[in-house]
This record gives sequence, C-alpha cells and structure tokens, in this order.
Amino acid sequence: MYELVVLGGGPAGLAAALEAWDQGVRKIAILERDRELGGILNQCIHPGFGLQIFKEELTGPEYAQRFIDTLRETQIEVVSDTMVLAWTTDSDCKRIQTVSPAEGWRQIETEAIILAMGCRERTRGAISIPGARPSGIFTAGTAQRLLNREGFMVGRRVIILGSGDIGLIMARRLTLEGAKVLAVAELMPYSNGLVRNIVQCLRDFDIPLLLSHTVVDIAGKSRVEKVVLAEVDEHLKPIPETRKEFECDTLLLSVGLIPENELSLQAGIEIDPKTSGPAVNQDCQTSQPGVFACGNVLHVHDLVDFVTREARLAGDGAARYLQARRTAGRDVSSAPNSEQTVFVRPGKNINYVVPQKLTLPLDEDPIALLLRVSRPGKDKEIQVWNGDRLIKIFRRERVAPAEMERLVLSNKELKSISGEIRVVLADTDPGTESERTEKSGGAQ
Amino acid sequence: MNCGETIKKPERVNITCVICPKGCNISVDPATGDVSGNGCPRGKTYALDEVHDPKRIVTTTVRTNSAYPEAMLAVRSNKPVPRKMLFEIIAETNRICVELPVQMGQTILADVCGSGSDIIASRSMDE
Repeated sequence: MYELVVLGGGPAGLAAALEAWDQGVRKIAILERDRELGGILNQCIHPGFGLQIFKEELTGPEYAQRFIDTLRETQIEVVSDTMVLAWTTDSDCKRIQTVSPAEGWRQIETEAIILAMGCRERTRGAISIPGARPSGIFTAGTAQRLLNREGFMVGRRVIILGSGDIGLIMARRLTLEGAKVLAVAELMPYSNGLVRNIVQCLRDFDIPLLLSHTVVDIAGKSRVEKVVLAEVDEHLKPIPETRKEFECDTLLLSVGLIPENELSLQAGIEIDPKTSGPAVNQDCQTSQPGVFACGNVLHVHDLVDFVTREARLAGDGAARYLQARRTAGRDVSSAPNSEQTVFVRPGKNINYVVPQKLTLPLDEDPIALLLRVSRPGKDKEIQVWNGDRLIKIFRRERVAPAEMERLVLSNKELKSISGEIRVVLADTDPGTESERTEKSGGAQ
Repeated sequence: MNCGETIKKPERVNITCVICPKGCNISVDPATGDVSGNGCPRGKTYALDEVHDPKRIVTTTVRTNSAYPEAMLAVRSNKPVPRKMLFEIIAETNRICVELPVQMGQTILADVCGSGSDIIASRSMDE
C-alpha cells in the first residue's frame, strides 16, 4: 500500500509529490495519463516561467525539467501512460482503479491522495458559436500541442477568438511558423492577456486585436473557408451592421479553462461552483479527509509559480495528515466539525477565494488567500473582514479578473477568528493612501 | 550619390512597457534619448532598447529522430536575439533534425545565423 498517490504529473503533481517526499513521506506514486511528466508545460515552449520560484525566466519545458530532474533523485514512483478511472474510500484506505496499455485494469491502495489533474479548455460548444461545422476549428491548447509537440501546422490563415495569454502566444507562434494570423478577436472591451504578450505577440507582428468583437458565423464545407466577426454592444450582443468577413482556413478558440473534476465529482467531493474545483481548507484538503487538491484542478491559475506554491501546501498537508494517522490511529479520518471551521466567502466584486474554509486551530504559518476580482479597476483596496472586524486591507493600484491576487495573512492577524471571513473589493479612501501599499508580483 | 534628400526629423515613439504588469505608456525621442512617462528607471532602459534595437528570446521547436508522435524538441536562444532576425532563425531551425538523446541546455545550433546566440535544448529527451 502507498502512503500517497498523486493524480497527475504536471507542475502541481510534481511539486506536491516532491514536497511530501521532503517532509518524510516515502511510499509515493505519481499516476500520469501522458507518456511523459511535465503536463501542459511541455507544450508551453515560450519564456516567462519561474520568476518567483527560480528568480530567472525559464521556458515551460525547462521549468518542468528542473522538477523532473529533482524527482529522479528520489524514490518517488512514476506510473505513466495510465488513466485513473475512479477511487473508493473505506475506513482504512483508498482504492484507485487505473487502466493502462501495459498493465490493463489495476487497483492501487493508498492512505492519501493528491488531486493534480489540471484543467481542460472550453470548446465551441461551451460558448455556442453558430455556423457550419467544418474541420479547422481548434481550441488554442490543442493547436499548441499539435504544433509544439507533434510538429503539425494547424492552418495557414487564422482567426483567433479570445485574447487570453494562450491565444496571444499562439498568434505569435503560428506567425513565426509562416501562418498569417488575420486578427485576434476579444468579446470583452479589454484583453485578459498580459501587457507583455499584447506587445510581443501581437504588436511585434502587426496582428490586429479587435476588442468587443466575437464570431457570429463560420462557413465552409469540409474545411473552414470563412469566419464572420461582429462588434458587440455593452450587453455583449453582436451588432449586425458591423459584420466583417475573413477568408481563412482555421479558427482557434482561447475562451477559458475549466478544472477537470470528473473524478472528484464521482468520488462525492464537494465542489465550489465559483471555481469548479474542490472546496478546500488551508492545507488544500478537500471535503474528503486524506484527499488534497492543488493547481489547475483546484482553480485555474495564471502563474505556474502560484501552482508550485499551492502544490507544496498540499504536499505538506498530506504529509501532516499521514503523520497524524500514525500517532492518533485511524480516527483522524473524520471531517472537522462546524466549530472548527471558518468559512472564507467572496464578497462584493470578488469572484472567488481559495481556500474556501480554514480549519481551526491554525498553526504558526501565514495563510495565503488566492482570489480573483470580478471586474477590472484602478486604485482599489481588498478588505478582509471577520464578522464586523476589519482584519487587513490590501491596496492595489490596479486589479483585473485575469490577474490572480495573493493576500498573505499572518498568524497574528488571524488570531481569534471565528464564524466567517469575507473578502470585498472597494475603492481606496484617498485620505489614507500613504501606508500599507502592496505591490503585485511578477508576470508570466 | 543622392545628397539632396531631406533628412526627416524623427518623431517621438510610444512604447508600452512590459517590465511589470502596470504597462506604462512611455514616450521616447530616438534622436535625443529623451524618455517620459516611465514609472521607474527600468522602464527607461527598456524603452531605449525597444527604440534602438528590440531584442527577444526566440523559442521554437526542432525535429528529432524520436519514434513517438511527440517528436518535436523545444529549443530556445540562450540570449536575446535582434527582433528582425526572428524569421531567419526559425527558418534555420526548421532545416535540422536532432539525434536523441539530448540534455537540457545542450547546444543545438551554435551562433545561429551569426546572431551571437546559440540555440539550446529547453528539455532533456531520451527517445
């Protein structure tokens, strides 16, 4: 029987397994669906990763390789080419059912599980784009995998819908490989991509960014022949008079990511509807004792360094859970009761907060709240309240839904909390501007 | 020799700074090196570099002799290269096929296109 099985060998799974190893857990396995470790980083060949953790700018594969090389120095077992079908829990262990070409169906027993399955792309169906259904319509990440790992060009004349970072990065990548990217269309009046990517992926190559635009029609018999874009009004409704036709053979969709939680749902884990990921406490423990979650399966991140930090919390949490089992017998498998739980709720203009709950008593470590605001703004403050007590204010020169905020609260600031913590976004009071200005972190 | 051509006075150039997520709009006079609109000293250096000789780390992939479908090797330049050389460098890297195994950091193409930068492997690949 394993002490810990990690589902997924991307950045979250790698960092979580290594942290658990460093904390003394010895029987660890990583189950990976792909042939290789590294997850999505293997296809993110562009630079910009690791500024916080490694203090230098790495490409995705380099970031993954550093963790893979460290993993090779441990006895952590890697089981690749293996799909997890389900797991069941009983009083003394969890049984994971897997299937692989090498071993067929197999059952693996473990004391603890870390969920690190990552996320999936939203597709055409998820956003209901009208029109014909020819070939040549790809999600941006699939096109990225085809191009960067398998060496296939997905098209020659391309429209990209969605100006998140994946869409921008693919605009540059396809251009460098000889394709003509006609335009990047963005539904919202602002881009969700980093300024750096707007400059270096679009402006460097004179690719137009059409804000407040969407795809209203796709034409083509066997292959995409034409994509029609239109401007949208303030209610995001297309304005028919503004239709523009583009002759092209390919449409890439970069329209959002969803945590991949089919397994978690099947196992009966509580899911936060705001994040589409498990609801967790400060150790990344889910509603099922001994099951932890980190990385994009928990909530979609924009910086891999944030994933690594979160994964280390999960790895450390799993190690402490296992230790508690050793000292207290099997009893720690019961969930904390309501008196031991403080809920963390998103308030006004906050989309979500992770962790969703804190389990008391808190230890000495500071606690980081990761959150997204629901709209962009300037000169804002994020307030953290416990009941009617204001615990802390975090000032921000600018906030945007695309940029995850990380608020660190010390053990002292969280002393004697109870009931519920509420996080709200408010305008900065100009009278008290001078103190406690926080700077947001690096970019990817 | 055409000496009668009038020399056009260079105008100010607007640069969006990408050093931090703030994205300051910086205005540069290429002739005098006068910079305004930058929120910090790093922005001034960035804006002057962007006006005179913009450079980028180039990342791409090269073919390998791997038998697997994921046969492309991610590579990068070890130093920023002049932006105007990007297409020339990608054309060069698309011409080669690499014998595995390779180690991360291994040189794949030295002094690519005379840029002074080497193309190196972004990862290790065994088979």
